[in-house]
Amino acid sequence: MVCRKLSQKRYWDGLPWLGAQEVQADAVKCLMTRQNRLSVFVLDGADDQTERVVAALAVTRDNLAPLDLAMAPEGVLAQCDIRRDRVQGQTPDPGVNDWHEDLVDLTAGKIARLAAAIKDEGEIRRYNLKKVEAAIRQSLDEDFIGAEQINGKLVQSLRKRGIVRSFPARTRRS
Amino acid sequence: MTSMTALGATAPRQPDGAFGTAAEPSNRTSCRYRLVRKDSTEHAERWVDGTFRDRIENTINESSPDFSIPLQVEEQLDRLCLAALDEQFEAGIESRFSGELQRLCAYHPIAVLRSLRARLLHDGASPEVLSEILQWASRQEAGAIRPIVVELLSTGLHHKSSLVRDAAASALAYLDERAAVSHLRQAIERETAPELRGDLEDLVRSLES
Repeated sequence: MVCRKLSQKRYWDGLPWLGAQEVQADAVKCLMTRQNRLSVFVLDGADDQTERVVAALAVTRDNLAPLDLAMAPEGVLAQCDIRRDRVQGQTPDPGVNDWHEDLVDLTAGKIARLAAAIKDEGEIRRYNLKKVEAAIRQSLDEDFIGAEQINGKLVQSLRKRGIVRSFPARTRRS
Repeated sequence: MTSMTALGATAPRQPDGAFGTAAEPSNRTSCRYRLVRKDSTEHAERWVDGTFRDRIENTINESSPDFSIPLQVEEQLDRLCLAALDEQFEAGIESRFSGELQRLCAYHPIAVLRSLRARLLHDGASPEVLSEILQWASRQEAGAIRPIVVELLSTGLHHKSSLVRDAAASALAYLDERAAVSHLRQAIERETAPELRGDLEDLVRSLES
């Protein structure tokens, strides 16, 4: 599965004036490229992999919030004639970073085809606040992520909610 | 645009901790109303950077039933909301806009929240900006303003845009209050967008589990 974080799940909803296979133009905002590259995670399909990606992405944010993902079969990349480049990710979870790839040499047409393929063959998945909390808790418990790697603003909120139980080790030592 | 930059700048605190100049009278209430009538960004900066005592006083004044939102709060919010149209927002990421709102709210929390609620009821406001406002509001933790925050968020559940209704639901869930579930249940009954309805049902299940 190819997994991409979305900035707004509602852009992928159906609308009365939208055809059954069509995607809102606003959805393309979630596939914003840099230097014609798009960051994705390629997963082998195990459920806990997705939770791990959710946790890794959520702890880089400033606040706890729902996290939305577009999930599509890996085959859509070949269908859309999209090339891939394995690039190490930059999340606090080294395992998740290994699953990271950049989609490269993208054109406006390929992005539009990819958006349509996600809508047609994929799934837009919402991880609500409680699910994000649970994913973070699990990654911390399994030491995929260290508490000291969490965004400083977010860690206060996690502490209040009992997800991070004590000060990170580095803070205690200093 | 320039006003947003000006508001974002760190205002130098006055030697006596007040928001007026040292020559101005120390009566905080009269000073506040004088500043409200003025229309310069320079004064707005001082006014936003109020002392704790000023903030408490304003919170009490603004809680009274006959309180009307100061013109200057409205003007500052107008400028912020206009500038916010150029920003890209993402859930969980603090925006420049939310930072500016936080500064403004530090001094006039109730006036800001009441004004934002009025904007929520106004049809012309951008759904993206309103969604950001609701997410920011859910992070306001002061007990005195919590009922106004809940009122603001529950108002958002009735908005015509599904973006705003979604943001209001997530923001209510963030508050972690018992009242949130009953608001969300009512929102599910009203919801016409199938995708959002599914997300709301899932959210309620998660909150209750």
